[in-house]
Amino acid sequence: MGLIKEKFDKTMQVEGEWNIGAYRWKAPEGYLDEYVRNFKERKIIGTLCTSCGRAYVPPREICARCFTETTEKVEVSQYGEVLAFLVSPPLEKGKVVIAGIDAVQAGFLKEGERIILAMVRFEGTASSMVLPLINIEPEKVRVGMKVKAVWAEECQGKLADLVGVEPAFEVKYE
Amino acid sequence: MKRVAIIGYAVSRLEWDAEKTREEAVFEVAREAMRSAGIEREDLGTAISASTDFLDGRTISNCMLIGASGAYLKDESKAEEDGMYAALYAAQRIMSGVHDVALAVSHTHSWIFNPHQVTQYMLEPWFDRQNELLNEITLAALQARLYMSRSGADEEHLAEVCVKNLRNAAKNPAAFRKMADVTVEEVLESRLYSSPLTELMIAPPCDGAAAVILASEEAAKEFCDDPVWIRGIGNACDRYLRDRDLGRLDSLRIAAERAYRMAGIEEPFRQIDVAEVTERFAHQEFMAYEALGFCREGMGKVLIEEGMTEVYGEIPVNPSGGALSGDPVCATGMIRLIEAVRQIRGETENQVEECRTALAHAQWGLCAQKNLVFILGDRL
Repeated sequence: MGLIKEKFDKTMQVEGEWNIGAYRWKAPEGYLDEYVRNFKERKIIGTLCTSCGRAYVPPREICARCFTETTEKVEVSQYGEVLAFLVSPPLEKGKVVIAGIDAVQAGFLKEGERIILAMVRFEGTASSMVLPLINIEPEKVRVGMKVKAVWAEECQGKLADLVGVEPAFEVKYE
Repeated sequence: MKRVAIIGYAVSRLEWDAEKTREEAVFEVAREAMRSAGIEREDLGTAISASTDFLDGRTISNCMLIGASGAYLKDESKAEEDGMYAALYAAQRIMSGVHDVALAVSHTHSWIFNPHQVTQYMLEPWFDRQNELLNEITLAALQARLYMSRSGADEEHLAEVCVKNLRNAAKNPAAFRKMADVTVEEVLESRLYSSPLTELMIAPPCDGAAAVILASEEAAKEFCDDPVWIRGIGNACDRYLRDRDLGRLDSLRIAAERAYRMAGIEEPFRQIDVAEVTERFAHQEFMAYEALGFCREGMGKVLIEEGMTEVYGEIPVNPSGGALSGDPVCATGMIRLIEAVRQIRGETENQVEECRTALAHAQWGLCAQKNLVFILGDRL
């Protein structure tokens, strides 16, 4: 990780640490909680700005463009489009840690597997989400391809219910 | 250089654990300030926000506030300090003639992260940070001792400042810590943090947001019937706390001299009608009296003994309650500025009579390292 941590031989170093876990944040009430709760019915809920008609997913409480509060909720399509994507290098143990758990060690992801993250805009919305793109070879991913939401087998109203997106149509690649 | 006026403002109620997100809090005050100034978001030329990355727990802490502050696709910038520095930044942009109307907005939600948890990270890392006892409060206690030994003020004098400010705060509906019947004994008997500082001598961190609208002379006359003019500005920053005279606020004295010169004030005691100062700790109000030229060196305690700085006195200081009545860290100085504006407009609950010239002061850093002074007036 030469880009991130570099050792300097000539300087003395003093250790220090900062307890980032001491921070706590508030989420806007009735927005994110309702969004996640609706995952149980496999619905994607966004907010609708009544002044410009834009829908925001995940829900935003303020429409920056109109400088108004977005109070109306709207269900959006499960289908979307890939705006951009990235392919990770083959996974190693100890490199992908999600919420304090080593994803490889815990068995979520296989060692040597490559993850595709796609920036997806669901139809009719004005914002995008970054989700894993699954059930496709990395070589076959194209910007602009249509995808649809993939849900967990049993949805419990948790953020993890929306597993990711997969190609909406069979990809023909020649 | 163009003249600058303040034409609108808004302050949220100061509270602990406010039931709103930071975006909602900023949105509320930004919209209310624009409404009070009679402008729309389209009239806004530039927006400056003030917040602190380490209190917000996110770097580039303004990046999530663009929608809330009305800065979307506009000229936008951030002052990583007190809100009054955002107002200074906005005033400079108007003075340069590039913009006509500016919004300055500031917020801190101390509930997210109590500021006193990290004040030791403001210390230099090699020596001072290795000593776990040093933080903002213990260093302020050292400063209080230095001031007390120099001036002869004692703990009771410090407590009298708290009594004055907390009683004033009882009349201010937005204040966080209000105590209408507090006595000197109660202040001295509250929990001891670091001798001589007790709990009531320390500004209580809380959640709050504030916003002001600044405008050039032409825009102010177009939008507002009673603009409050910025007549003088002074800003000075001192060295690190071990390298300066901690018992004196030299940077505040220099900042005040600059502001007085710009505003044409020669005798601050007679010419200033009200002062709103940021005293994060009780002794800093005495140090401010001296640095602002209201009294000679070491005579701050006399002003309190004689009641000169009460709201009915010769030179009322902090009729709003000051920082001791609630300290939303980045908004504290901006609230002082707004209280000064409200005094000139005659809109406060604790009104000073015939108030035409007001002083607002903001500080930043350990033991008030950096100081900013605004002189406001009802005419140019």
